[in-house]
Amino acid sequence: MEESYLKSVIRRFRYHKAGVISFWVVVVIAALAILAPVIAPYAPDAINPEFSAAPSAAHWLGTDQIGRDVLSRLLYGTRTSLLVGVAATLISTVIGVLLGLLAGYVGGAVDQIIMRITDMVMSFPYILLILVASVIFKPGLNSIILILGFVDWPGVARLVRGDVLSLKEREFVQGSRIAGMTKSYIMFSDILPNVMGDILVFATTVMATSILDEAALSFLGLGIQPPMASLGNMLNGAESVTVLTTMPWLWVSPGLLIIVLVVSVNFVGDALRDALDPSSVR
Amino acid sequence: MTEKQEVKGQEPPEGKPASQSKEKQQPLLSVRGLRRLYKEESPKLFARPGYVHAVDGIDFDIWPGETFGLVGESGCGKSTTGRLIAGIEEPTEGTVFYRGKDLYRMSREEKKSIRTQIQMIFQDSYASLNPRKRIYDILSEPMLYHKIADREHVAARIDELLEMVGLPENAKRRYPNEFSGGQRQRIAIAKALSLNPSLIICDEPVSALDMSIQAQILNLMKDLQDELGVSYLFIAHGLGAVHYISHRISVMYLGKIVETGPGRGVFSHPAHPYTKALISAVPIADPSKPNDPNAIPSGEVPSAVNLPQGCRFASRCPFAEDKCRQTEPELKLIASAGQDGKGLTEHLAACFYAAGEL
Repeated sequence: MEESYLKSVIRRFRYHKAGVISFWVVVVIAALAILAPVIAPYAPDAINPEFSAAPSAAHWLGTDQIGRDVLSRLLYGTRTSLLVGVAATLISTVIGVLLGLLAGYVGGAVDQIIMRITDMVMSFPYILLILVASVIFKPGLNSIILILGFVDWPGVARLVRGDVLSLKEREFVQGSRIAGMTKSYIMFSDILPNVMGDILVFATTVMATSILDEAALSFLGLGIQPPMASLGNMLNGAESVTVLTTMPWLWVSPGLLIIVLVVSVNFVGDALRDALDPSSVR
Repeated sequence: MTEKQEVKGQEPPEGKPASQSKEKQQPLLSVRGLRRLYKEESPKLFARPGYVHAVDGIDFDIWPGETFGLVGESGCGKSTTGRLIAGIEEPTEGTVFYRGKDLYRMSREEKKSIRTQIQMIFQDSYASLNPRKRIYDILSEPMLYHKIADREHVAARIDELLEMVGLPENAKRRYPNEFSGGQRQRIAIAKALSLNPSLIICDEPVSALDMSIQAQILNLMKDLQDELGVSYLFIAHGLGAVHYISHRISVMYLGKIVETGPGRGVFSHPAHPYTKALISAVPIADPSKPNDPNAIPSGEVPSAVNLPQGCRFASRCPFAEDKCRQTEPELKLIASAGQDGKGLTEHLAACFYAAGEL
């Protein structure tokens, strides 16, 4: 019975087969992305003599229309996409958690103001926001991270606020109030640890969404700008019917990778949800 | 408690006989004219809001080492009373004195020290323990926060507390969900005791447990009282457990105390028709003695928003007459087993019928 919380989380995580497999898939993809400069056979923007070449021994996944090695671009592109996913998730989670805690615990007018802002951001079509932003700022890695970070926080804020509202009425929180503990102590000692699991699970969803959003925006040419590679802008070529029908190697691998990455991240989130709950039976 | 005081008169109660020392004669807790109204959400936009009279002017004293039972059906205001005394709600009117000091008008420092002296145990023992913390942390946190024990002494104190409530020493390394309801309630009691309180508010502490566990927890509470001299405010909806543990019992109906007196007196000679009804609702373990069907009140509890004129129980009372529907009865002495200066033996009821005034 005596095991640390972390150990029990790992034990429960192991019961989720898809989660464990997905976890390793994500780890391998992340490792490949991080090690891209070491393992990539070519520089991502190096132009080779063969244009639009089908996969061969020299170029495992072929080359694109201007002769860049697809495998190398895929590795560097994954790096970009993961970086966008993680950074945007971090920004939106921090904003969302802080605003959610504040709204839920302080309540009253503060709650009203925060939640109306949340509604506003939520109802705003983000493609439009990004169109406008891309006019004002230079499109690129930093702006896409910031934009996605500032678009995704309302979900987190709502989740945290809801959790805080229900936890606030729980007897153990009232017990701490009776024992004379201060609001900030209760917030960080009693409430936050109980919201942490939900936040982590939600963060995986946000990360998956961010990766997809980056892909969509880059596909439209509003996100990561060439020559920098991202999974999204690698799909860019598939806008043309010729590429779509005759050069599948250009879009199949980045497309598949996006699917595998997003599905895996979601499965990890699902497994985490079960694992982080000490009251689950396992 | 002998006379119903007016709400405005908020003087700390004083001991009566001058001969005895003041320390002995001071109640631990004195509730005076306590009232808590809740604004009712109105469906109409411009309607004048109604007020739910959750607690509607009650007075009572709790003496050191005493168990004071508060009974009544759901919604009668007994839990609100507990929460008001615990300080997680503010009264609309009236106040509570703790050792002669007004609980709602004191400095921050005083408040902080008083907060360690009144603790609470809840009905839902699962929700009363933080599921993400080990028992060790649950028990040590309040002590460290209030600097009642330092890090070195906390461990010994926790072992002591666990022993007091009859749990094994290794319990401290586990999480709340690894325990049964009865064990969790023991942990909740240990948590309440960790700050050395002189009063523990017990809000239906055994209602969620099965019968045999109920008896265990009640016996544990009794033993702890003998050992530590702690007072309990024991809130429950059924008379069974309250009768078993309480020295004195007050019966609440629609935000008011309708009967109060020594446990045995109230239980064996109930004066108020509502108390009689409550007692007849306790199942008798003898099929040849059926419950008295007349004692079970008919009709619905009146709304706590639009309180009836006169006695609040009149609409359901088998003995009600015109006088009951017009004037509200006050608590009157029914019986007394002698004067002790504390009113501990006085049996009072707010009923014209019981007082022989009909």
